[in-house]
Order: sequence, then C-alpha cells, then structure tokens
Amino acid sequence: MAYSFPVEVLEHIFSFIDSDNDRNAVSLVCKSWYEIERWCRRKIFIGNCYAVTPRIMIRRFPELRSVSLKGKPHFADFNLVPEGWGGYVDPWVLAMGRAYPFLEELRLKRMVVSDEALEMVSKSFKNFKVLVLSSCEGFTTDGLASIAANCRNLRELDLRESDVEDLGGNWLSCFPESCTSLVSLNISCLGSDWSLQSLSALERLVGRSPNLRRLRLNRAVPLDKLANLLRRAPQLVELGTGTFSSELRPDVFSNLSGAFSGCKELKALSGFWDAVPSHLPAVYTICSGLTSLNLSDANIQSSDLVKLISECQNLQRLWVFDYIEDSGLEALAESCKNLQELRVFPSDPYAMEPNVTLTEQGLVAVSEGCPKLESVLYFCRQFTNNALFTIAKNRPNLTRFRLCIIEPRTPDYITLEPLDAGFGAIVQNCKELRRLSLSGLLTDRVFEHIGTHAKKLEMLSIAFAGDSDLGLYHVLSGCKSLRKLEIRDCPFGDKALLANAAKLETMRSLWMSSCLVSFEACKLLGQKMPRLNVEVIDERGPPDSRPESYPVEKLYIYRSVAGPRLDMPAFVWTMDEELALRLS
Amino acid sequence: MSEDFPSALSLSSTISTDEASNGVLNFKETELRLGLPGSESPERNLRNGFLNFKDFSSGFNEDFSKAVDGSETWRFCASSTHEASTMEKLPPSTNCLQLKETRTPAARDRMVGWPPIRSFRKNTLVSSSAIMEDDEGKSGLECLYVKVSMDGAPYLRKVDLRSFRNYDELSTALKKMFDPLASVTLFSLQIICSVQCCSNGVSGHLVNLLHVLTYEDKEGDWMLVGDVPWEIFTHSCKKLRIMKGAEATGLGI
Repeated sequence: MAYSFPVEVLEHIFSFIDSDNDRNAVSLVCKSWYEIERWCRRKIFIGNCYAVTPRIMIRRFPELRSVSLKGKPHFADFNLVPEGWGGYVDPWVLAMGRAYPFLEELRLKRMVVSDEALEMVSKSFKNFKVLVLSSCEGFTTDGLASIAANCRNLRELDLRESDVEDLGGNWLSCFPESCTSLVSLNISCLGSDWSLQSLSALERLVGRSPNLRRLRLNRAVPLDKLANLLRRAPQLVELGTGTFSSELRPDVFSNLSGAFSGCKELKALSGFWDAVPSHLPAVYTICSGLTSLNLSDANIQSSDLVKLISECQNLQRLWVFDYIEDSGLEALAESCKNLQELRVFPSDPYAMEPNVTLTEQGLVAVSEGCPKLESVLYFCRQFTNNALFTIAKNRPNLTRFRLCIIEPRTPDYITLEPLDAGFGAIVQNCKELRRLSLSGLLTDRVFEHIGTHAKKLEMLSIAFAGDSDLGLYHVLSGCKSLRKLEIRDCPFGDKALLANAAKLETMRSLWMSSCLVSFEACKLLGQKMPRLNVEVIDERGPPDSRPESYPVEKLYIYRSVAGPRLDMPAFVWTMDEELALRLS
Repeated sequence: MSEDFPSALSLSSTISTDEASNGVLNFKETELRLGLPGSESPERNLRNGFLNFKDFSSGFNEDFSKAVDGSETWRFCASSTHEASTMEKLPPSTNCLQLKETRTPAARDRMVGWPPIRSFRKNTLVSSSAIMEDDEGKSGLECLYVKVSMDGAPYLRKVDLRSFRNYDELSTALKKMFDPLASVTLFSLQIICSVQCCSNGVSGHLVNLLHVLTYEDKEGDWMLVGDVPWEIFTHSCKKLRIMKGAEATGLGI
C-alpha cells in the first residue's frame, strides 16, 4: 500500500479490537498489519496447550498481558483421561516468566499446576492481577500461600472446581495487611476443615477488601460466620455460602436474615451445602434481585425448592438437583420468565429405579413457559421423541442442549423407537445450536440429521450411539462449524476417520474412546497428517504388542503446529512418521 | 513434508476366524481403498500458510467415491440424498453389533465416566448420604474417589473404591494402572515376591525393592491395606499410597 496510516494510528485503532477472531483477521490483511498487530496484542486464548509451544507464542506475541490455556480434553472431567496424561503448565510459566514480566492475567483450565509454578507466577510478574484455575490439579494450599504473599495487586483468585490438596486455611494469613485490592475470591473447592484462625484471617481479608464483588466460600465456613462476612461485604454481587446447616436457633436465623438484606446488590447465590430448609427463608429478602441460583450442592427437596424459586422472579440461571421434580419445574416455568439457562443434576445416578419424579415433562414445561431459555443440561431417566419435538418447536432459540438419559441406549419409552427423530427436530429447528450432547437409543440416522442441519454446531458429545461408520461420516462431512468432537463407546472405526482426515485439521480436537479405530489406521493418519497429533492412549501396553487391526483403547487427535509433544507418559504414543518407521 | 500423497491409502484387513470368534472387528477380507484429500486433486493450495479447505472438499469427495467403487460393502456418495438408498445396500451391521455386545460389561457394573458427572459433584452426594446413612439405613456410598500415589512414579491416579468388591480386585486394578507393562513385577498388597528377587530367595535387604500398599485413614494415620474387612476399609480410606518397602517400617512388615 503506497499510502497507509502511520503505525501509531493503526495500533490505536487495533486497540479497540478485542475479539480473537477479529484480531486474527486483522493479522491476515497484509504483512505490515500482521507485524503491527502482533506487537499490540495483549490477550491470547489457547484452546489446546499442545497445539502450540510457549516459544512460538512468545515469538509471535512479545507483549501479552493476559494468557488463557486449556489442557486436558473435556472427557477428563469424567475420569476418561488417565492421570499423568499431560497438560502441565510449568513449562509455560517458566517461559512466560522470562518473556512477559508485565503479565497480569493467567487463566487455566484442566491443567496440572505445581506449587513451584504458582510460586514462580507470584514472583515473576510484578503486576499480576488475575489467577483463574478452573478444574486444575496438582497443587496445594502452599502454592496459594505464595500467590497471597507476593502478588501485591491481586484482584482475582478463582479456584473453581480445582482439585487442591488442602493443608488448612493458614495460607489466608499470607495476604499482607496492605492487600486491599481483591475483587473476586472463589475458594469453594477447598476443604471443610479449617481452624478458627483461618476463619478469622478470612474475615479480616474480606473486611479490608472494599472492592470485593465475588466471594465463594468453602464448606469450612460455618453458617454463624456467614452473617459477619456479609456485614463486612455488603457490596457483594456474587456469594457462595459455606455450609448452610447449624442448630436451629432463632438468633442465628435473624442475624443471617438481617445480613442478607444488607446486600442489596447480590445477583448470584451458590453453596448451600447441607442446607437446612428452615434456614432458606433467610435469603428471601434478596431473591427478587437474583439472576443466578446454584443449588447443585444442596439436598433440598421439591417443596422447599419451589418456595425458594418462586421468590426469584428475575432468575436467568438455575442449577439444581432433580429433587425439583416435574412439579417444581412447572412452578419454575410459571414464575421465572427470564430463565435462560437450566441445569438439572441427578441426585442418585446409580440407583436402578428413579428416586424422584423427574421426567421429560419437566423440561417440556420449562421450554413452554420460559421464552428465553437457550441453554439446557438435563439428566433424567426417560424421554420421548414427542417431547423432543415439542421442545424444539417451543425453543428454536436453543444454543446449548445437553440431554443425558442415564441408562445408555434407552429408547423412546412409549414407542420404543430410537430417539433419532427427536434429536433431528432439535438440530433442524434450533438453527443457532452450538453445543449438543446426545443420549438414549440412537442409530446412524440421527447423525444424518446432524450432518444435514447442524451447521453452527461447534461441540458434539456422543456416547453409546450409532450403528456404523456412516454415523461418524455424516458428522465429519456435514458439520461445517465443528470444533470439538468427543465420542465414547460407539461402533465408529477407520473408514469414516480416514476419509475425513482433512476435516480434522479444521477442528480443535477429536476424542474417541472404546470405539473401533484400529492401530493401523491411527498410524496411517499420523503418518500422513503431520499437522495433526494422533495420540493413542492405551493402558493395556504398547499398541504394537497386539495385532494392528485391534481397536485402540482411546484416541485423541488434535491439530498442532508444535509437533508431537515430549512429555508423554508411558501409556501414550504419538503416531508420526518416526514411530511408523520404528514400528515397521 | 512431501507434497505427494500416494494415490490412495489402502487399509486391507484380513482377519482370521479365530479373531472373529473373539468378537474382534471382522472385515471379511475386503480390500478398501480410501483416498486421502489431495491424492488425486490439484496440489495442496497453501496461501499464507493456511490450507484452503474448499480445494480439499471437492477434491476428496470425487476421489472418495471413485476409491470406494467396486467395494462390496461400502458405497458412499458425496451428497446426502443418496444416503437413504445406499444404506439399504449395506449388509446389516451385525459385526458391529456383535462387537458392541461383547464390549458391554458382563454384569451391570458401573462404567467409567458414566453418567457424565464431575467427581466433585459425586463426592458431595457421598458426604451428604453418609450423613443421612444413620437415619435411613441406606446401604452406603455410591462412589468414592481416592487418590493413589506411588513412590517413584511421577503421576497421581484416582480410583473409585466402590467399583471393587474386595482387596483382590483393588490390587489387580492398581497393578494394571501403575505397572501396565508388567515388565517388573514389584507388587502385592502385603509383602511382594518379585520374579527376579525370588530366584535368590527373599532376604532382608530385598525388602527395599518391594512395594507395599498403604492407606491414610480418617484419623490421618497410615496403615497397611488388607488388615481390616473390606467394607470398613472403604469407609475409612482417604488416600492410597504405594510405598517402597524400606519406608514402610513401623507398619508391621
């Protein structure tokens, strides 16, 4: 371009561009834009930590302030990924410690984090502000102590659902008295056994954090301490209580009720471990302002649930156990017209017989009564095609639909047919559907529907479904927007996979476990597609100790510019040219 | 990276009847030729380092239907309207079903990761039901994940104690987990006799080479696994550790 804007002007313009996709587009315009953009990019999201190396990231983006990384595949949440598979953050922290002294934010999901890494984070980045560890593991509260002690400007410490070795609450005392910058503290995953000292350290910390907006406590915080905490933080917007049971004493109740009514900005509530129903009315004063209610840790029964929920007319998100039952969901559909997201978890998933009356009726009722409903996660024991037709018809605005019928391969309980047509209606009507999880009895037909209609689908989870490779073929060849595909216990094999090898480079990852993909096909794929890492995960021993045609236990394929990784444990093999030569 | 793909990838499998009877995948001697994208289409189009997917999809679809012509069992067409008629031509997928059935666990035991619920959610339920147990006489915990570490192994594992019925099953599972190659057998619940060590008889200093399974109970004490009845063990075990024999002194070895 003969005449173009000065670099400073372009940089200034680019600074208004936040979305990753837009930034990527900008960098493709021409070489100079690529150069300018890479120097002024401040935030990066890496959906698979093995798709790229720290060195590549640092080389291209020398001035990042915020890094988000994801490690293990989603099915690791359900123990399908053997421990030791990988997802270590330490090499990243080491490299970033040297390259990004001004790093402010680190957000990790499903990664293995060591105490040493946390210590390094706390000492390498002088202006560190935000640490989010979502479903991470490998560290103890000692690592948290380093963060508390050294990060002078810490704003967010969020340990959501991480698996932390809790050595007690003493680490809270490591926050210096001068630390008053906290905005968000989520320690709900920590233990239930803390000393009084730890509890008072927590109280003092909360007391000196005037900007604290989000506080999620762990089970160790007893109910009689909650009132004190609330009085010190009436500006809270989100609260996760500690344990919600105690002796039924009128003074505890009125103290708590008073404390809650002081929190006029409260929008989200969670926690409620061991909740005693008679204490629930303590929160009634703030219910009308609530937009988010998470009762998925509380064993509250239907009638008490209904009483609570009917106070929350502005609810947008509800997470609850199936104790709510169909009747409770009908009440929900009546009272909460702004509901956008519903998650219903099973209280007794391994029981042979249902312990509650939660059926397809409940979800149908909500789909009828809540016009803004767009995100559903529903565990139940029976469903029908008709119910799915109705839901699809009522709610074409669904973007996330995850249905889990607990017993695999359960047919429509009235017609005994597969649920192909029902899910077909969902993908056909819900044109904005981005995420779908299937269950029940399903043939290849459902995949034909999905391949034909689910053009915006980005993530698909399949279990115990399909008859043949045709099913997988439909998905891989039809779903244009597919990024993540995870499959378990389906009769999908080599043919569909090999025929759609190129598709895999357009996706983030593919997981297949207990399917029928042979070792031979894995080798072929790995050899021919150098920009894919084809990982065979097999705890039965080296795959070449069995005939090549035998299916591998687990297969994880992801695109990568980093080449095969070097930190694999003994039960993981990356298929590539080298390996093929060695094994031939 | 070579720009020349072979003209087609062939995956031919001939499986003996022995293997078939074991319920393994049975592709009755079908030679299948599958074309990878780019094999017969114009050479890969790389612009700015990014693949142009459009060039691929047309290329490989043609190639795929060509490649599968003449095959007995498989016949795909690029367009979905043909799917219905072609599916009838497919033989019933008895092979896949057969395989499915053999893969279904014999008893109705719990499958790993099903239903898809996070462990932390399960352990919440566990603790609550443990509280309610006394009142209702419920038969007990549904599942209980405990961490297992092994001295010298870099990685922690997790096991669901409820998925085993006795010490033998636990021992077998742990052995598979930590010693999948079974190359050096250094394992048993009480005292081990490894194949190599045994040849010289077990002597005092050989205890150092052996591993012992221990657990941390609710009081925080480390005990040898196997001393108490199984049910009591599952209720009191918080963590498992496979210790080197030398470190297990004081536990009664």
